[in-house]
Amino acid sequence: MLPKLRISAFLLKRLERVKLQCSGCLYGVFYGESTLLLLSFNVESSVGELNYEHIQHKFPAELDLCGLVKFGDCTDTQAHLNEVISSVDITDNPILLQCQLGTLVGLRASFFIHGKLEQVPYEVMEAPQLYNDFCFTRLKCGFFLHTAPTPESIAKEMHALRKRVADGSLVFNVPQTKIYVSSNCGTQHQSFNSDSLIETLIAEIPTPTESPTTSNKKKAAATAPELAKYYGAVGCAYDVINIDVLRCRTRELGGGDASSHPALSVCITNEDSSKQQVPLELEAMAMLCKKTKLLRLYDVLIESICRSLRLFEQCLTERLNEQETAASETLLLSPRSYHFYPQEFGHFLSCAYLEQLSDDEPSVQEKRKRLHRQFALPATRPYFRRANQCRFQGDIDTSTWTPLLNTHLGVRPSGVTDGKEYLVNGNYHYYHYLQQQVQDKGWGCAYRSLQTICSWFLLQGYTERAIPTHLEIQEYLHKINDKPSSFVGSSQWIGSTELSMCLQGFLNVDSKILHVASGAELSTIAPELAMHFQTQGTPVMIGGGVLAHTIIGVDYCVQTGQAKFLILDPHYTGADDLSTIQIKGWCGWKSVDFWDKKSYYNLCMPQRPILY
Amino acid sequence: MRTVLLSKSDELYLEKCAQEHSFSYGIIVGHQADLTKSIVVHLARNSEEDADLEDLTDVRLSIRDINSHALASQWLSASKMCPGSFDVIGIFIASVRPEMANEQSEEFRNAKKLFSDVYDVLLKSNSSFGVYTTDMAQTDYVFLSYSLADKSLLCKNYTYGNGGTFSSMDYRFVEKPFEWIQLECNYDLDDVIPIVDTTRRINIEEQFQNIIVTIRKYLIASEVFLQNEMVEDTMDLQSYIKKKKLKDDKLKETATNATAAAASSPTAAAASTLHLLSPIDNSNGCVIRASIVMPVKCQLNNPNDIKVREFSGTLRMSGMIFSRIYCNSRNSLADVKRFLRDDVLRSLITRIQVYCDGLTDPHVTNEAVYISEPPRRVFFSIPAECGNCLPCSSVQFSEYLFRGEAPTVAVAQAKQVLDIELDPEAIDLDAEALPDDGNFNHFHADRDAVGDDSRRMSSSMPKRELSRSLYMIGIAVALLVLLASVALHYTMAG
Repeated sequence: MLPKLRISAFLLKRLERVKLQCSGCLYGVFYGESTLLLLSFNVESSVGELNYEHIQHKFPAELDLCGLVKFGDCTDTQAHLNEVISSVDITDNPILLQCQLGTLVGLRASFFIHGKLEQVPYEVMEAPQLYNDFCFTRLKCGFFLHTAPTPESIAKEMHALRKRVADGSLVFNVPQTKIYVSSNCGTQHQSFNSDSLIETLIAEIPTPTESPTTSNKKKAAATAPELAKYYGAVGCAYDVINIDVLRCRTRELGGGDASSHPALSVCITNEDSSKQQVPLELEAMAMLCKKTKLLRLYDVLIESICRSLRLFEQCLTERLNEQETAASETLLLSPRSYHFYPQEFGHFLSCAYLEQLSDDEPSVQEKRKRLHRQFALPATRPYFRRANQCRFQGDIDTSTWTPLLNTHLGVRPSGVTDGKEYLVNGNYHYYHYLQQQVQDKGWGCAYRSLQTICSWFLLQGYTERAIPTHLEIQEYLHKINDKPSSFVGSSQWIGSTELSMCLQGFLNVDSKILHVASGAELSTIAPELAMHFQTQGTPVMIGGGVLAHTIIGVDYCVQTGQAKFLILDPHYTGADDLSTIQIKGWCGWKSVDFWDKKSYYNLCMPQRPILY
Repeated sequence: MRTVLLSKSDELYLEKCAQEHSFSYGIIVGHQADLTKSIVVHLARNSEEDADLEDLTDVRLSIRDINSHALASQWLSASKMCPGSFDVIGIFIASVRPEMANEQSEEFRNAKKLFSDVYDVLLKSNSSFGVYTTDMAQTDYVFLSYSLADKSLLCKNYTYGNGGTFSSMDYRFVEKPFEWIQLECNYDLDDVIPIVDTTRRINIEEQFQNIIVTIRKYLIASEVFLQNEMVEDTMDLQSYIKKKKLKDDKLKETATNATAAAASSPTAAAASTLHLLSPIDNSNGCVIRASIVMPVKCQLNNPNDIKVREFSGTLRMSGMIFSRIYCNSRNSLADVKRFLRDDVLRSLITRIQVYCDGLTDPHVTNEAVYISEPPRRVFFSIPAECGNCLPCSSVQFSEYLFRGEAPTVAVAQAKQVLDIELDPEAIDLDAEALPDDGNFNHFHADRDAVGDDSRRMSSSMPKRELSRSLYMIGIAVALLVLLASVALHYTMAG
């Protein structure tokens, strides 16, 4: 029987954007009663080189190579297909997508059956359903690798380590619960049986606010979808199940009595050549349909560890091959897992980077560039820098203060008839008066607006620089001779020009300054703002008169010319309470009347640097 | 108030000690059943000075004359021999004189000093006194003083600190023998530890200390499963067994149903047989199997603190520690887990200590491969005094034997420390097997196949063992010479 085919809406959008004739590999998840969900693809690095060996371990476990995609007219489909068929492990019937350049019209999907292609229909799976039906596991553990600094030795020791991982002695635990998953007893918990599904497990995970005494079955079910809020990643709605790893140190007694196991002995070895102990603190992810049986979980988690280890091996070995110095003198660097959630993907992707090897190292940049190309991502903005890594809710240190994230999500609609919304592209933090105990009421609005803009660049991975403080901003302006020394530590205002200078100085970001002669004229720049949000997507600071604000979106109707602006108001002095901020309009849609009709205004529109 | 529970046989033993030696003292091995109850498992008279005092039986001995070093050394040896659920919980005195069991007597005041002396010696003689357990070192002890004259027993709680204080404590003789629930576990040591500082010769003792510290840290962070299942800490052993039995019965039923209804659902049947593999049969020889699971992390506390390190030597452990403990049905499962961890740790530390004590030089020679073989654990039953005991209720202690050492060594040790007579035949040598000689060979198969044997087995055996093997070699050589000479004789004659 042919599997049912579904394609993620994210993938379709990405396929649509490919405008060059090429081919690539498809990655998907098999789930339920033989359904294949296609989620991702990568394109060949050069003609005929599919390169999936390099990339497949970056995907979460269960997201496997399952077929081929062809863009434009293809001549060598058969050759490629044969290659892929031999590498597709999860099915006997690889999938072939044939896609026209730059459009989804005419997209054909076929399964390869008994040496023939058989065309099949497909369904599109939209984002909400993806978030609802699938979840991810995120597992943390650590091993030590004892190896000589040579590729051969690393390969050998890694192989041994993977074998150890898969020997059945690992036990998994969902933190803060008594849920354990082991190889011999499956998943044990009073409310689980052999038919339980992943979603039953999700329902059992306590969320921080839920008091355990009041939780009954009904409530647990009601709060289950909330999991993403507490353990998910910032900017994505998937539920994430955290996993801790343990190893059973008790050997099963073989047969009857215990006599088969020898007592402790210790072997001390003097190695002839120097070896190194490399800590491997890894984080591994896997993707699971929530209707998957719990019995599968153990194997999936093991696979996810093995993938991470392969990534580690890859990056250790690549580094050695690049260096070419005498191997015995190299001190290995320890690898670390980084997870990314590119908004275009709709799934996680993991990379391993070596500690102490900076993102700006040419070899590292080169690798990132290749990765962008392989995933058909523009090489103009960062996706896989360390700063882009996913922030998981559970990891965010609640003891240190962080501002609210993306406060515009959930605001009342603008009410522009037939308007189209153009919004800030990416995450930002809402900075406003009196935060961090700075008494800046009455003068700090532009500073706060700058902080919000900086947070966007930080959260988008353009920089790792901390958000500048009021004092740092003043000191910088004095340093570049824009302001006298008395300005430092004062309560003086700054405007759009100062902001653009600071962005240049702190983040190396250029800004476009737009002058508007009067507040009344602001509606005329709506198309320009719409264009800004489409191409740059950065928050815009608007200053003039006596007030500064941050514009994070525009709703504009081309036909009527009606426009409203999504304003983030830095003058708010209250607590960081989202509902107050939204209800009272500190973050909300404003019409042109919001501004003084007679004052002039300057807009500081930060331009994304070209960076990858 | 704490209560001490004693069995009838304990009373008989105290009486016997007083009768035979007019004044005796020794240690109390006990078990903490719950916060308020301690069970006396075994009393052992200290026999250290028997030889010196043989002809002095008429001398009026008092507590003041007790050699605190002798007592402390017995205390220490006994705590190494008893399972992790037991401990030396105090000191007893048995005497013919009545004032021994009198709270107002001068003797009683001396007891305080004795306790404090013993405690100090224990602390001094063993820096790892507190490391013996995964928990804090105990500071409350039991003092029992028996007087044969009026057959009375004085029972006090001694608290260490501030010169020590005695407080009142109840005791009770229990007619029925105590019932013990036996738990077994093995802990697999399958670790490789790099030796970082190779500028100087490798000191085995130091390396072993490192092993102990590391394993202790991980043991504390470990979780213990019973019968392969996660169990709640708050439950007590009794209710666990009841619940488990109920569940097993139910599973048995469903399993038979499942098989009756043909193997239509193989997964369900498989799941249930898993539990049936080791059902708890409470009627005889009840043994609950436990397993220890440990976190898989590079560092327990600060994962950012670890760096790549160069090394040129490794310490590779293999084999296991076998653990067997006895618990009271009222123990909480949290206690049971702690006892198991303590037992593993205690056995590890003890065997390493015994091993290191036998070393002439703590440094490893410069050979490429050096194998240390600490002694292995052997078990023996504490003879139950009353004849009608169920086999289940007798408990086992353990001793450590080197390869080639005869069980008589353990018999002698048990006599000296625990004051029990054992039959060498009755010592269970099979709980831990002898380490496999070829165990480490495969690590080096790829290194140097030729000449491997010549480098292996560089003298790693401690002295006691060495003399024994030399002796054996001597006999073998003598036999060979004899055979050769006989052969020579016949060839000459022929």
